[in-house]
Amino acid sequence: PDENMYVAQRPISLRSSVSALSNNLSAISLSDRRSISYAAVHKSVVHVAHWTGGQVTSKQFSPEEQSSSSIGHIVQVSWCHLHSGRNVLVLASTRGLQMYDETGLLLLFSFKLSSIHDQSETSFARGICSVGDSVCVGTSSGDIQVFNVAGKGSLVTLLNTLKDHKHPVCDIHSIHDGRLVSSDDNGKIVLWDSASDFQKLRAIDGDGNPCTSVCLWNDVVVGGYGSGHIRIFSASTGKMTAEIAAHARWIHAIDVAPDTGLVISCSEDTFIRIWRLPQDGERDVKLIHSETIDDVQLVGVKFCDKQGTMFAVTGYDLGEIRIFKK
Amino acid sequence: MSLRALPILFLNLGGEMLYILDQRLRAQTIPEEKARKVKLDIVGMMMNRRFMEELFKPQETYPKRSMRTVFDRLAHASIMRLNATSMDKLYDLMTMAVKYQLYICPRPSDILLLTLNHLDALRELTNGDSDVVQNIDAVYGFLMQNYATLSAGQWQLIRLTLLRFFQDMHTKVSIFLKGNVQNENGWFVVSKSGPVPNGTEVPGTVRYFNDSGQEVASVAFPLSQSCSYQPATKPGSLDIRGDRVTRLGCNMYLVSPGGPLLSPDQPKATQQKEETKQSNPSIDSEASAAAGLKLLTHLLGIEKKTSGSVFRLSLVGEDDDSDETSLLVQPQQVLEINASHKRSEELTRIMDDLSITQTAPSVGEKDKGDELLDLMDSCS
Repeated sequence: PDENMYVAQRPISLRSSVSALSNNLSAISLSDRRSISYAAVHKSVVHVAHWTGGQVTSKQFSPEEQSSSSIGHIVQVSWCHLHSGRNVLVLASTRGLQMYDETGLLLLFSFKLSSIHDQSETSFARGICSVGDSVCVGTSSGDIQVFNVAGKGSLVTLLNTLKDHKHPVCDIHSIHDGRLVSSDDNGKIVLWDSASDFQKLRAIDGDGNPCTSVCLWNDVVVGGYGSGHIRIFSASTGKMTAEIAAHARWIHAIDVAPDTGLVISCSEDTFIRIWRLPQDGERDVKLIHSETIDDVQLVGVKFCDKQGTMFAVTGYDLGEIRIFKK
Repeated sequence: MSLRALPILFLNLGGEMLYILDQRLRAQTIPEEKARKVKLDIVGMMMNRRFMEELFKPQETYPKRSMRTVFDRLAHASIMRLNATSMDKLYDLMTMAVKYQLYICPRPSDILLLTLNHLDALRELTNGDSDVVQNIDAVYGFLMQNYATLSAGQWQLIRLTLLRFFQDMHTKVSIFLKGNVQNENGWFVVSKSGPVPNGTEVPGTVRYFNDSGQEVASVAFPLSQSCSYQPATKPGSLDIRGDRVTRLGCNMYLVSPGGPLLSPDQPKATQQKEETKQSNPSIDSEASAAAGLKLLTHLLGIEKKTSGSVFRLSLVGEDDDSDETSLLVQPQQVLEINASHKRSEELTRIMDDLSITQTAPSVGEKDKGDELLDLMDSCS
């Protein structure tokens, strides 16, 4: 018996299928540690499912109904845990962003993207994460908008606009020490420090290959790319230390388990792969698990816990969230 | 999402439509002259210069019903008539084929190649008619102008926008089932073997680098036994005429059930050259309506001379099992649609009326069609 064996659990049924969008799965432990909540986008509705041990409740909500004006196409949905202990559900769309309370029932805040000059380009928000009491959202112009969310109520204010990316932002990820990492359609990765007023720490140039998903772990930046590569960089020097020919097709999402340094990736090639990042003094990245969901192009994957003993995955046209556990 | 997805959607759906109609015209042994005229009329209308100029303007992709309207009009651009059941089947086949091509397309930018495959085939189909060929060449120009330099991220946005259009469609198509590219549950097969896309490496290696950026080691890791990927093939050509390399977008109905699509080594089958003339319909210079769709269907609805007798084409094979284009769906009630179009201005009505489920086939062609036309006329 392989100690790295992840076994399929009962999938979570959704009311409709999941859309083809990168990073299309969000997972969070709300209030009660034992329960995990998931969110994924289906066209113009958001699926929200709560898993508590054996019980699952699954529902969907339509943001259009809450909004006075059209919200356009939803590009991404993500739970954000804030330092105050509060959780909010953030939606990025072609109009801008919407922020809901953790139940998804109450619209707290809406932000409309300013219209751009070039009418042939779509504008959209994409890339969502929280850091401290702020929510950061990327945009197609490359700008990252930083919003401060009050501990209670609906006071949300625009704090800062981070300017560096010249291409649409793909993903943003933060870690506990306040560092933030963002990636864009040109493959560029930027490190920021929220503790020092979002100062830019480092930039890693792209080569035209979108870095669709990015994360940070200790001194390591990990990027998943449209070319199927996973690249590992030193956060302090910005230099690439390893490059994995990880998937045969576009990678849509990666995630990291902060306690163990496990990285999980999912791709249009139908595979989920789990890698162990090199620990202190080591050089090698190890593939510890590979899983396939036949014929399904995977678009979202998340570890369900900090050790990475459980993960959830979604795919285009799939009407469920698949769960795997050690 | 992407404001560039519509032309791609239209050209590929149109291409598939011609492939299917061509196959049915042969299967039903429609006289050569009539078949030629139908194909030429339809391609001619598709490639209408002003139509294309509107199509290529940055805009959101139309909802499904609107696209269906456009293709209903197109299918009836000539002397051929399709009843509702046949039109449904035609549209299902077209959409599933394009969904398949977009779904398994190795990398998003390859969508341009598969679109060029369709365009190449349309050019061959109408070769000899210089007006239409000129328009097709103009479309090639529009494609190069607008798409040749798009980034991988922009292409993926187009692809994801179109996958949204095709989401939840799992209609089973005989030729796909027989070719083992679609499962019994309607899902397309994602192969774990074959060449990886250009720019991607065969998975299985980790490379390590030192501080100077030099590679210091290369370590293999095992892939699952089900995988047998190969290195990428050479990139396809974007020239006006060239080897696209990919078989996606080629006519899968031209050869045996294996199809050029499914056996990569087969040479691309070619159509016979056709010598036909077509007079372009007179184009109304009415100012374009606010909604792009209004103008598009307006252009498609332009009064056409229909010389020669009208004939009916069916997509419902007598023997469904042997029919290459039969679908495994239940036949619906038949509705005769009169396609002698007049100009229409109220599009929403047309779209709504497409879901008419009136019973009883009419005796003459005109009866049911008149109701539709009356509705259209009353709104103009």
